[in-house]
Amino acid sequence: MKHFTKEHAQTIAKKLACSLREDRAHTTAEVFEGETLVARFGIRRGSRELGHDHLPSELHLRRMECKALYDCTLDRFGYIRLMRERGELPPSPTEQA
Amino acid sequence: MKMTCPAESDPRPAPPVVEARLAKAPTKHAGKLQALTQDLWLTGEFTSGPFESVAAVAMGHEFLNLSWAPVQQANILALSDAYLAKSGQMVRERLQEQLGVVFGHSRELDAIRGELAALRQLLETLTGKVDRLAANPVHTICVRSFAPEPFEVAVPLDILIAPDEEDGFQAAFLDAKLHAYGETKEDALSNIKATILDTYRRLCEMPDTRLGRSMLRQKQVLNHYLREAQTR
Repeated sequence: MKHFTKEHAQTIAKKLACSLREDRAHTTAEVFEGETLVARFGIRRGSRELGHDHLPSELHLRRMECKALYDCTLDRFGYIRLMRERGELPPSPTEQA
Repeated sequence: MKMTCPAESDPRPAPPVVEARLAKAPTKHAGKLQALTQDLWLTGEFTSGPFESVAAVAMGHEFLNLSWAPVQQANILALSDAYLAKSGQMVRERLQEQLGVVFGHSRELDAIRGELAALRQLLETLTGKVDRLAANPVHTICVRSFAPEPFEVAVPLDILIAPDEEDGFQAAFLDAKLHAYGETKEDALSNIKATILDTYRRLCEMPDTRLGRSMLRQKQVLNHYLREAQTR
Protein backbone atom coordinates (compact mmCIF):
# COMPACT_ATOMS: atom_id res chain seq x y z
CA MET A 1 0.00 0.00 0.00
CA LYS A 2 1.37 3.38 -0.99
CA HIS A 3 1.29 5.92 1.81
CA PHE A 4 2.35 8.82 -0.37
CA THR A 5 1.74 9.34 -4.06
CA LYS A 6 2.71 11.87 -6.66
CA GLU A 7 -0.43 13.82 -5.72
CA HIS A 8 0.87 14.14 -2.14
CA ALA A 9 4.27 15.27 -3.42
CA GLN A 10 2.76 17.89 -5.72
CA THR A 11 0.40 19.22 -3.08
CA ILE A 12 3.17 19.46 -0.50
CA ALA A 13 5.50 21.15 -3.00
CA LYS A 14 2.82 23.76 -3.63
CA LYS A 15 2.10 24.22 0.06
CA LEU A 16 5.77 24.69 0.94
CA ALA A 17 6.21 27.10 -1.98
CA CYS A 18 8.96 24.94 -3.41
CA SER A 19 11.01 25.90 -6.42
CA LEU A 20 10.93 23.15 -9.03
CA ARG A 21 13.84 21.92 -11.15
CA GLU A 22 13.59 19.50 -14.03
CA ASP A 23 16.35 16.99 -13.42
CA ARG A 24 17.09 13.99 -15.59
CA ALA A 25 15.47 11.32 -13.45
CA HIS A 26 12.59 13.34 -12.03
CA THR A 27 11.38 16.80 -11.10
CA THR A 28 13.08 18.06 -7.96
CA ALA A 29 11.31 20.31 -5.48
CA GLU A 30 13.48 22.48 -3.25
CA VAL A 31 12.34 24.08 -0.02
CA PHE A 32 14.06 27.34 0.79
CA GLU A 33 13.78 29.48 3.86
CA GLY A 34 15.25 32.79 2.93
CA GLU A 35 18.35 31.77 1.02
CA THR A 36 18.88 28.53 2.88
CA LEU A 37 18.07 25.22 1.23
CA VAL A 38 16.16 23.17 3.80
CA ALA A 39 15.13 20.09 1.84
CA ARG A 40 14.93 18.57 -1.63
CA PHE A 41 12.60 15.86 -2.79
CA GLY A 42 11.92 14.18 -6.10
CA ILE A 43 8.56 14.10 -7.86
CA ARG A 44 8.30 11.20 -10.26
CA ARG A 45 7.07 11.78 -13.75
CA GLY A 46 4.01 9.79 -14.79
CA SER A 47 0.77 8.78 -13.12
CA ARG A 48 -0.54 10.65 -10.09
CA GLU A 49 -0.73 7.32 -8.26
CA LEU A 50 2.99 6.63 -8.37
CA GLY A 51 4.46 5.87 -4.97
CA HIS A 52 6.48 8.56 -3.15
CA ASP A 53 7.11 6.87 0.15
CA HIS A 54 10.53 8.51 0.44
CA LEU A 55 8.79 11.87 0.96
CA PRO A 56 8.87 11.99 4.81
CA SER A 57 12.56 11.16 5.03
CA GLU A 58 13.49 13.71 2.35
CA LEU A 59 11.46 16.40 4.11
CA HIS A 60 13.02 15.43 7.49
CA LEU A 61 9.58 14.61 8.84
CA ARG A 62 7.83 11.73 10.45
CA ARG A 63 5.15 10.03 8.42
CA MET A 64 2.28 11.54 10.40
CA GLU A 65 3.78 15.00 10.11
CA CYS A 66 4.07 14.53 6.37
CA LYS A 67 0.40 13.52 6.28
CA ALA A 68 -0.43 16.61 8.31
CA LEU A 69 1.41 18.73 5.77
CA TYR A 70 -0.75 17.24 3.04
CA ASP A 71 -3.96 17.49 5.08
CA CYS A 72 -3.46 21.20 5.85
CA THR A 73 -3.02 20.72 9.60
CA LEU A 74 0.64 21.70 9.16
CA ASP A 75 1.49 24.69 6.98
CA ARG A 76 4.75 26.16 5.70
CA PHE A 77 5.15 28.32 8.79
CA GLY A 78 4.71 25.28 11.05
CA TYR A 79 7.09 23.25 8.91
CA ILE A 80 9.86 25.87 9.12
CA ARG A 81 9.35 26.16 12.86
CA LEU A 82 9.65 22.38 13.13
CA MET A 83 12.87 22.46 11.10
CA ARG A 84 14.30 25.08 13.43
CA GLU A 85 13.34 23.01 16.46
CA ARG A 86 15.10 20.00 14.94
CA GLY A 87 18.22 21.94 14.10
CA GLU A 88 17.80 21.70 10.35
CA LEU A 89 17.84 25.49 10.28
CA PRO A 90 19.54 27.94 12.61
CA PRO A 91 17.22 29.80 14.98
CA SER A 92 15.56 32.83 13.43
CA PRO A 93 17.06 36.26 14.33
CA THR A 94 13.98 37.14 16.38
CA GLU A 95 14.34 33.93 18.40
CA GLN A 96 18.05 34.59 18.91
CA ALA A 97 17.26 38.07 20.18
CA MET B 1 -78.39 -23.07 25.72
CA LYS B 2 -76.65 -26.10 27.10
CA MET B 3 -74.38 -28.45 25.28
CA THR B 4 -73.32 -31.91 26.25
CA CYS B 5 -69.87 -33.30 25.93
CA PRO B 6 -69.31 -35.47 22.90
CA ALA B 7 -69.16 -38.67 24.88
CA GLU B 8 -72.75 -39.67 24.24
CA SER B 9 -71.65 -42.93 22.73
CA ASP B 10 -69.73 -43.79 25.88
CA PRO B 11 -70.74 -47.37 26.59
CA ARG B 12 -70.19 -46.96 30.27
CA PRO B 13 -73.42 -46.09 32.12
CA ALA B 14 -73.19 -43.01 34.23
CA PRO B 15 -73.49 -43.70 37.97
CA PRO B 16 -76.67 -42.26 39.43
CA VAL B 17 -74.66 -40.34 42.03
CA VAL B 18 -72.84 -38.46 39.36
CA GLU B 19 -76.02 -37.78 37.43
CA ALA B 20 -77.67 -36.38 40.52
CA ARG B 21 -74.66 -34.24 41.27
CA LEU B 22 -74.57 -32.99 37.71
CA ALA B 23 -78.27 -32.14 37.89
CA LYS B 24 -77.60 -29.97 40.91
CA ALA B 25 -74.55 -28.28 39.50
CA PRO B 26 -74.52 -28.71 35.75
CA THR B 27 -71.55 -26.47 35.21
CA LYS B 28 -69.38 -27.88 37.96
CA HIS B 29 -67.45 -30.20 35.69
CA ALA B 30 -67.12 -27.55 33.11
CA GLY B 31 -65.20 -25.51 35.71
CA LYS B 32 -62.92 -28.43 36.39
CA LEU B 33 -62.39 -28.97 32.70
CA GLN B 34 -61.66 -25.33 32.21
CA ALA B 35 -59.10 -25.39 35.01
CA LEU B 36 -57.60 -28.54 33.61
CA THR B 37 -57.51 -27.07 30.13
CA GLN B 38 -55.89 -23.89 31.37
CA ASP B 39 -53.28 -25.93 33.21
CA LEU B 40 -52.59 -27.80 30.04
CA TRP B 41 -52.30 -24.56 28.09
CA LEU B 42 -49.87 -23.19 30.58
CA THR B 43 -47.77 -26.29 30.44
CA GLY B 44 -48.00 -26.15 26.68
CA GLU B 45 -49.06 -29.74 26.24
CA PHE B 46 -51.92 -28.91 23.88
CA THR B 47 -50.99 -27.41 20.59
CA SER B 48 -53.75 -28.71 18.39
CA GLY B 49 -56.08 -25.72 18.37
CA PRO B 50 -59.60 -25.69 19.69
CA PHE B 51 -59.80 -29.48 19.82
CA GLU B 52 -58.03 -29.50 23.10
CA SER B 53 -61.42 -28.85 24.71
CA VAL B 54 -62.61 -32.14 23.31
CA ALA B 55 -59.35 -33.72 24.34
CA ALA B 56 -59.76 -32.29 27.80
CA VAL B 57 -63.23 -33.74 28.03
CA ALA B 58 -61.86 -37.08 26.94
CA MET B 59 -59.23 -36.78 29.65
CA GLY B 60 -61.91 -35.86 32.11
CA HIS B 61 -63.62 -39.14 31.27
CA GLU B 62 -60.41 -40.99 31.69
CA PHE B 63 -58.88 -39.39 34.79
CA LEU B 64 -61.70 -37.70 36.65
CA ASN B 65 -64.14 -40.57 36.22
CA LEU B 66 -66.67 -38.43 34.38
CA SER B 67 -69.01 -40.15 31.99
CA TRP B 68 -70.35 -36.95 30.47
CA ALA B 69 -70.47 -33.37 31.54
CA PRO B 70 -72.86 -30.65 30.51
CA VAL B 71 -71.00 -27.44 29.85
CA GLN B 72 -72.00 -24.01 28.73
CA GLN B 73 -71.54 -23.40 25.03
CA ALA B 74 -70.42 -19.90 25.89
CA ASN B 75 -67.68 -21.37 28.05
CA ILE B 76 -66.42 -23.54 25.22
CA LEU B 77 -66.46 -20.63 22.82
CA ALA B 78 -64.71 -18.41 25.34
CA LEU B 79 -62.15 -21.13 25.98
CA SER B 80 -61.68 -21.57 22.27
CA ASP B 81 -61.30 -17.84 21.65
CA ALA B 82 -58.93 -17.44 24.57
CA TYR B 83 -56.88 -20.34 23.37
CA LEU B 84 -56.78 -19.00 19.84
CA ALA B 85 -55.75 -15.56 21.02
CA LYS B 86 -53.14 -16.98 23.35
CA SER B 87 -51.78 -19.47 20.84
CA GLY B 88 -51.79 -16.84 18.09
CA GLN B 89 -49.83 -14.50 20.29
CA MET B 90 -47.43 -17.28 21.23
CA VAL B 91 -46.97 -18.21 17.61
CA ARG B 92 -46.44 -14.56 16.69
CA GLU B 93 -43.91 -14.06 19.47
CA ARG B 94 -42.11 -17.26 18.61
CA LEU B 95 -42.11 -16.35 14.94
CA GLN B 96 -40.76 -12.89 15.71
CA GLU B 97 -38.10 -14.43 17.90
CA GLN B 98 -37.13 -16.93 15.22
CA LEU B 99 -37.14 -14.26 12.52
CA GLY B 100 -35.04 -12.03 14.75
CA VAL B 101 -32.55 -14.83 15.18
CA VAL B 102 -32.55 -15.54 11.46
CA PHE B 103 -32.07 -11.88 10.51
CA GLY B 104 -29.47 -11.46 13.24
CA HIS B 105 -27.58 -14.40 11.81
CA SER B 106 -28.04 -12.93 8.36
CA ARG B 107 -26.47 -9.62 9.43
CA GLU B 108 -23.62 -11.44 11.13
CA LEU B 109 -23.11 -13.54 8.01
CA ASP B 110 -23.01 -10.38 5.89
CA ALA B 111 -20.38 -8.90 8.16
CA ILE B 112 -18.36 -12.10 8.12
CA ARG B 113 -18.66 -12.27 4.34
CA GLY B 114 -17.36 -8.69 4.05
CA GLU B 115 -14.44 -9.44 6.36
CA LEU B 116 -13.65 -12.57 4.39
CA ALA B 117 -13.64 -10.61 1.14
CA ALA B 118 -11.27 -8.04 2.66
CA LEU B 119 -9.03 -10.81 3.98
CA ARG B 120 -9.05 -12.53 0.59
CA GLN B 121 -8.03 -9.28 -1.09
CA LEU B 122 -5.30 -8.69 1.48
CA LEU B 123 -4.08 -12.24 1.02
CA GLU B 124 -3.93 -11.79 -2.75
CA THR B 125 -2.00 -8.53 -2.33
CA LEU B 126 0.44 -10.11 0.10
CA THR B 127 0.84 -13.17 -2.09
CA GLY B 128 1.64 -10.89 -5.03
CA LYS B 129 4.21 -9.01 -2.98
CA VAL B 130 5.80 -12.18 -1.66
CA ASP B 131 5.96 -13.58 -5.19
CA ARG B 132 7.58 -10.36 -6.41
CA LEU B 133 10.07 -10.41 -3.57
CA ALA B 134 10.85 -14.06 -4.21
CA ALA B 135 11.34 -13.39 -7.91
CA ASN B 136 13.27 -10.13 -7.32
CA PRO B 137 15.06 -10.24 -4.01
CA VAL B 138 16.51 -7.05 -2.59
CA HIS B 139 20.15 -6.80 -3.52
CA THR B 140 22.99 -4.34 -3.52
CA ILE B 141 24.88 -3.13 -6.53
CA CYS B 142 28.29 -1.60 -6.13
CA VAL B 143 28.77 1.44 -8.37
CA ARG B 144 32.39 2.08 -9.34
CA SER B 145 31.91 4.42 -12.25
CA PHE B 146 29.65 7.18 -13.55
CA ALA B 147 31.09 7.08 -17.08
CA PRO B 148 30.57 8.84 -19.39
CA GLU B 149 29.79 11.58 -16.85
CA PRO B 150 32.87 13.60 -15.86
CA PHE B 151 32.89 12.30 -12.29
CA GLU B 152 35.17 9.86 -10.57
CA VAL B 153 34.20 7.52 -7.80
CA ALA B 154 36.48 7.99 -4.81
CA VAL B 155 34.76 5.26 -2.80
CA PRO B 156 32.48 2.69 -4.47
CA LEU B 157 28.82 3.38 -3.72
CA ASP B 158 26.46 0.67 -2.53
CA ILE B 159 23.09 1.04 -4.23
CA LEU B 160 20.15 -0.91 -2.87
CA ILE B 161 17.75 -2.22 -5.51
CA ALA B 162 14.36 -3.51 -4.40
CA PRO B 163 11.06 -4.23 -6.12
CA ASP B 164 8.61 -1.39 -5.69
CA GLU B 165 5.35 -2.17 -3.90
CA GLU B 166 3.19 -2.42 -7.00
CA ASP B 167 5.42 -2.51 -10.02
CA GLY B 168 8.87 -1.43 -11.09
CA PHE B 169 11.91 -1.08 -8.87
CA GLN B 170 13.29 1.45 -6.49
CA ALA B 171 16.92 2.22 -5.97
CA ALA B 172 18.36 3.93 -2.93
CA PHE B 173 21.69 5.37 -1.93
CA LEU B 174 21.03 5.25 1.77
CA ASP B 175 24.14 7.09 2.95
CA ALA B 176 22.91 10.26 1.27
CA LYS B 177 19.18 9.45 1.60
CA LEU B 178 18.64 9.53 -2.14
CA HIS B 179 15.98 7.50 -3.93
CA ALA B 180 14.92 6.83 -7.49
CA TYR B 181 12.53 4.56 -9.32
CA GLY B 182 12.42 2.74 -12.63
CA GLU B 183 10.39 0.24 -14.61
CA THR B 184 13.30 -2.20 -14.60
CA LYS B 185 16.33 -2.69 -12.37
CA GLU B 186 18.48 -1.08 -15.05
CA ASP B 187 16.19 1.96 -15.21
CA ALA B 188 16.19 2.27 -11.44
CA LEU B 189 19.98 2.06 -11.34
CA SER B 190 20.37 4.57 -14.15
CA ASN B 191 17.93 6.96 -12.42
CA ILE B 192 19.66 6.77 -9.04
CA LYS B 193 22.99 7.50 -10.67
CA ALA B 194 21.47 10.52 -12.40
CA THR B 195 19.90 11.63 -9.12
CA ILE B 196 23.21 11.31 -7.28
CA LEU B 197 25.02 13.41 -9.86
CA ASP B 198 22.26 16.03 -10.14
CA THR B 199 22.18 16.38 -6.36
CA TYR B 200 25.96 16.57 -6.15
CA ARG B 201 26.10 19.27 -8.83
CA ARG B 202 23.30 21.24 -7.26
CA LEU B 203 24.73 21.14 -3.74
CA CYS B 204 28.21 22.02 -4.99
CA GLU B 205 26.75 25.11 -6.64
CA MET B 206 25.74 26.43 -3.26
CA PRO B 207 27.99 27.61 -0.43
CA ASP B 208 27.78 25.64 2.78
CA THR B 209 26.31 28.64 4.56
CA ARG B 210 23.20 28.38 2.42
CA LEU B 211 22.54 24.75 3.23
CA GLY B 212 20.39 23.39 6.00
CA ARG B 213 21.90 20.75 8.28
CA SER B 214 20.74 17.69 6.32
CA MET B 215 21.56 19.29 2.98
CA LEU B 216 25.06 20.06 4.23
CA ARG B 217 25.46 16.52 5.45
CA GLN B 218 24.28 15.19 2.10
CA LYS B 219 26.85 17.36 0.35
CA GLN B 220 29.61 16.10 2.63
CA VAL B 221 28.62 12.48 2.04
CA LEU B 222 28.60 12.96 -1.72
CA ASN B 223 31.96 14.76 -1.55
CA HIS B 224 33.29 11.69 0.24
CA TYR B 225 32.18 9.35 -2.54
CA LEU B 226 32.59 11.50 -5.64
CA ARG B 227 34.88 14.03 -7.19
CA GLU B 228 34.92 15.78 -10.50
CA ALA B 229 37.16 14.11 -13.05
CA GLN B 230 40.44 15.88 -13.66
CA THR B 231 40.68 17.10 -17.24
CA ARG B 232 44.05 16.35 -18.81
